[in-house]
Amino acid sequence: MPFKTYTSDGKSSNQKISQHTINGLKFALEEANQNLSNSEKITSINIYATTNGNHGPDSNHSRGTAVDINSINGDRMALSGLTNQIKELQKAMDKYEKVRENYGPFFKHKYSKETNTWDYDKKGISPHKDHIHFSTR
Amino acid sequence: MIRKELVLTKIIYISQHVKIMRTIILILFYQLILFNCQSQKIEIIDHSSEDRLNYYLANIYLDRSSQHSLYNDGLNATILPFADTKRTKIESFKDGHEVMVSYLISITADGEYINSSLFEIGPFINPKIISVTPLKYPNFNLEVQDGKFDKRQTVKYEIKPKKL
Repeated sequence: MPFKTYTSDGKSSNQKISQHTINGLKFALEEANQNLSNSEKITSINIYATTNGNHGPDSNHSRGTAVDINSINGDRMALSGLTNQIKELQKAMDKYEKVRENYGPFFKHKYSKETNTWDYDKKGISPHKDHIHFSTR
Repeated sequence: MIRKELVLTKIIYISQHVKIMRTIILILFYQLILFNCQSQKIEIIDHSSEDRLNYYLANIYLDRSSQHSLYNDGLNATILPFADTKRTKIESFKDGHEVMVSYLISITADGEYINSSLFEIGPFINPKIISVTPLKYPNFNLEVQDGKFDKRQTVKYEIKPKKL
């Protein structure tokens, strides 16, 4: 799992984050790979952002409960566009029991921990065409 | 006998007078309580429809705010950075979703019943305030460093408060 990044603060994305976020990533990768063919299986993802970079005051990045993934198997999402791997990874992230936000090229979903309901059409956020933002609660 | 009746009448009169006085005192007391309660009436005001105010307050970095005293404490500048999501240029942050930061600058003169001026400056990429220096009252310079880590630049901006 590489940590190639160039956020504005110049900090590495290899920072401490919460255990449930790490567990969520492991779960989603294993789940996604079960639905991908041998040639498509995800063997690496690049963690572009954890707590590095400049985020909003209430961002889950600042809390250490969010990651941004910008490439799968070395292919940047900005160049590859929507792939099966992105689709399966985002679908698998939705299945993680502690998912909070799942924004990416395939969809933008947010789970409400307050009402135990999903917002399947999250409005007012940036397009997320070049990365998956995954946060947990 | 007549004397006894007179004494009794006087006692009844005094008793009634005391009752009236007590009633008046009680009314005044309740009026006082009522008056005090009215002067401290707590209100909940919903500002949700005020979009701009909402936007600022929801995005302010309280832990990064600062106060700068200028002109021998005659002028105070409070600088509040906020995540300026609306003016963040997406193309500036590929592969992630960082936000640009703007500053709200509230300038007040010292004393009671103050006047104030309010400015907004930005958006910046990962900014840092280098200095706040007085010029000619009430103007001052705000020196800000911003940009990506490998392309930082420092620029001075002159702030000219008018309403103080």
